[in-house]
Amino acid sequence: MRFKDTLRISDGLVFLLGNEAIARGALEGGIGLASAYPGTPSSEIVESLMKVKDELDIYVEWSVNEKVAFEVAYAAAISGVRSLVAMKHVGLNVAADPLMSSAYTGVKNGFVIVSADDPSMWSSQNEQDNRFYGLHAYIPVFEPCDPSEAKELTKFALEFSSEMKHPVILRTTTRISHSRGPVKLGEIPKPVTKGHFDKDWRYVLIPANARRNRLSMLKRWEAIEDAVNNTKFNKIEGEGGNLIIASGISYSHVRESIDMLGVRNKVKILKIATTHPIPEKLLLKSLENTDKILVVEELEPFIETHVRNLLYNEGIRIPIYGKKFTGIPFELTLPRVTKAIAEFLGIPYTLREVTNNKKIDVPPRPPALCPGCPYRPLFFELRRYINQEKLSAVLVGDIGCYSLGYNPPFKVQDIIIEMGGSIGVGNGLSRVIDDVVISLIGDSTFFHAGIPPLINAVYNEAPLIVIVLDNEITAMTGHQPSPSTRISDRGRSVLIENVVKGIGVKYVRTIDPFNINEFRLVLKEAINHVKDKRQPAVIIARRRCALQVSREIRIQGIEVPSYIVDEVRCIGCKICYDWFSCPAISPKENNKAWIDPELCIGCSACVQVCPVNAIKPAKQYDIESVEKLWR
Amino acid sequence: MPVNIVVSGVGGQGILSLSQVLGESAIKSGVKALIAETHGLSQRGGSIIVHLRIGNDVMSPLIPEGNAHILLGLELLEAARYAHYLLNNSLIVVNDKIIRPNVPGVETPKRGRIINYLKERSRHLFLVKASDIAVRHGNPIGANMVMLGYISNVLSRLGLLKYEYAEESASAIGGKRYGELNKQLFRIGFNEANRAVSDLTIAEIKKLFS
Repeated sequence: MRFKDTLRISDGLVFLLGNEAIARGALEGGIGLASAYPGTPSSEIVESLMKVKDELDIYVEWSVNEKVAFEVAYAAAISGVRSLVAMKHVGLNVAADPLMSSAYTGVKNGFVIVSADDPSMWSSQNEQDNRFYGLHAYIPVFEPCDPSEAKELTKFALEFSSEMKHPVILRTTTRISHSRGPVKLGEIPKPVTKGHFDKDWRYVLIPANARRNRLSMLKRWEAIEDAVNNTKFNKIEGEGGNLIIASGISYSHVRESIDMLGVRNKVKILKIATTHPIPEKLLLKSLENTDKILVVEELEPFIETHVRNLLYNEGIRIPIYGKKFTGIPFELTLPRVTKAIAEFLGIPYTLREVTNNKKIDVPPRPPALCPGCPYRPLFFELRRYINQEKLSAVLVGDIGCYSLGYNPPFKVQDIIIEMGGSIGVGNGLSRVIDDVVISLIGDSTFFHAGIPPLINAVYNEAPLIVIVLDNEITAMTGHQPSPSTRISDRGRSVLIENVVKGIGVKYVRTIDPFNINEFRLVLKEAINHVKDKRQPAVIIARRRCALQVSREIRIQGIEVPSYIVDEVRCIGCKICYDWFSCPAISPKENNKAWIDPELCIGCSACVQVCPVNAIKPAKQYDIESVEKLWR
Repeated sequence: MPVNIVVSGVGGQGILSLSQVLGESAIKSGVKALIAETHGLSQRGGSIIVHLRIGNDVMSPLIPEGNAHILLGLELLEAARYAHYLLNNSLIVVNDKIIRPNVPGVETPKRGRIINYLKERSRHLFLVKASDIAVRHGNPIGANMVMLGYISNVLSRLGLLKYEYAEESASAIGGKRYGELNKQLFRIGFNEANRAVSDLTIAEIKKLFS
């Protein structure tokens, strides 16, 4: 069922993605505004809200980065409009500045900050545990254990925040955000979308006011510490001397593990949804007749440390285990949790292990640029140019689909650190190494965090080449719009050329990445410009994301073109499948190329890299209509 | 005990939509289901595994290795890669198609070797010409619908869901233009399973989880 269709339902079970459940919870909690910058695993929250905003008449936006998204939602909450802001864990680093201040001022109505963490780093550069932001900022952290609770807890978080006049972090993880499960729907109240800003000293964080705020924040915190003891989301289950404390997805693993081990009647579980502050009274109650404690949580020993603290303060001496049995890095799994519980209880580990250990050598399949990806010809030519010219170059990459250019055969990303890092790190490199420094950054990332470092390059005259890969969309996270996306009725919001020229970059060229000869000439020119003038040069490579284009071709009912290899002409040189490396092209037994009709989307980019002109359309197509969509 | 189904394939083959339809059909049929999906960067032509668990006592969304009852593969290499998730002699249904990993100079095992390997894992191996069928019917990205029809027949006979719900969703997925075609592809897969998977096999698979 599509998320939009669930609007009509106010009762009964529907099958929702964790992130859709959070979106639904926000609607049932009465939000009037939501904002986000996309990032896996958080993107579907605001994507879902985007689909229903018109019908419900709420305001939803994709902001230019997480900091702005945070500020937009915060502004609503201090004006009395309930709001939600969503981001991936590392996005909260970008928004950390207003996050800290928001706890000082507090809010007028419910304000929920969703941090979607990514244990095991399925789509991230680190697996930082954002529960520490709650500790750091004096902001409560709530964690749901499955999609169903994700909905309820989001709604509760909004109510809790309204009542406490304080922001709340809802922390989810990949396995909550990207799990689907049955969710019981409730009523969506009529949202309040207009507020009133009451002028007050506490919103003016000059030192004198900040000091007063600091004291009132600590007072609010005392009330919060007390209130978390009384929610139904924290509870004690079962009885016995063995206490297992678990939160989030870990609780779901624990519940199933104890059944698999057949020890349900031997353990008591303290399920915690308000990870920070820990519900101290409930925790102390759960310690009655307890001989030992196992804390099951993902990543850092956050709860474990707090439990240890509390026990010390109360003078209670009970052995506490946690990370010793579960380990620290990567996400928890059912076997990992079962093993930890078995060790804790001193019983044999009975989970069925893999019985047949014979394995076949399956070659790895790393993710790859899609067939038709505009980055492919550009990366191909960039690599070829560097090799042929024996150019000593350092390529500084960034966060986006183009990170995949790290892999062979392109190998055009020597450094990838964080959003916008390509230009910032490029600035510094150009000062201390003699190589040609080339920064590669996508359109959405450029707007997100690439502009200040480019201004820095102009202002401080950094000899740096920046290639902006403009596919007019935030592709990697699922095609959310970016400021360079063309919108039918008003065109492009912001043209990258205007920004770059406005900043004062002297050398600015726009190219079509499918035209590799043109790119080669421009690249050569840019290298000379940087060398001679000791100033930055910017190349904008513009062509639309292939997934978007092929989707539109299908929607418009145009026949999707497909290309074939003329087997007589093909000399089996391997360029198209091993160097151009299109996933749709693979070798046959005789090394001659074959194009898979299931994968080819008819972009025609491979035609120009074939040295013997062996690649041609499978038949006559309406190339003109197709070509229009690509540009 | 929940029934554990591993769905694997290559990013872009429509594995998420397929799994979603199955889970949703189970819920509509009155059984709890959980799915753990892979999104984001790993979706771009990479190896994909989706965990689908059906059963009212299911809590954790992840299937432990060595505990899957069914492996639904949309590609042969990706079926082989995750075959260690299976119990011995459980059900393997796989699209008879190899997609070469996008790695320069990569050596891909031959089709025969992969099939032999899967046969060692289970005597219940079923190959489906889903990609060929989809291309022939003018929807090159419709192999997932053939596989959906196939597995819906099996799950329906195992008593885990009503295939009618899955069929309904299959035609809803393609919208106006591809809906009818998807339904047709679903039917082809459905009938193929009816023909190929015997009642005896169904009974043996059922024993694994009851």
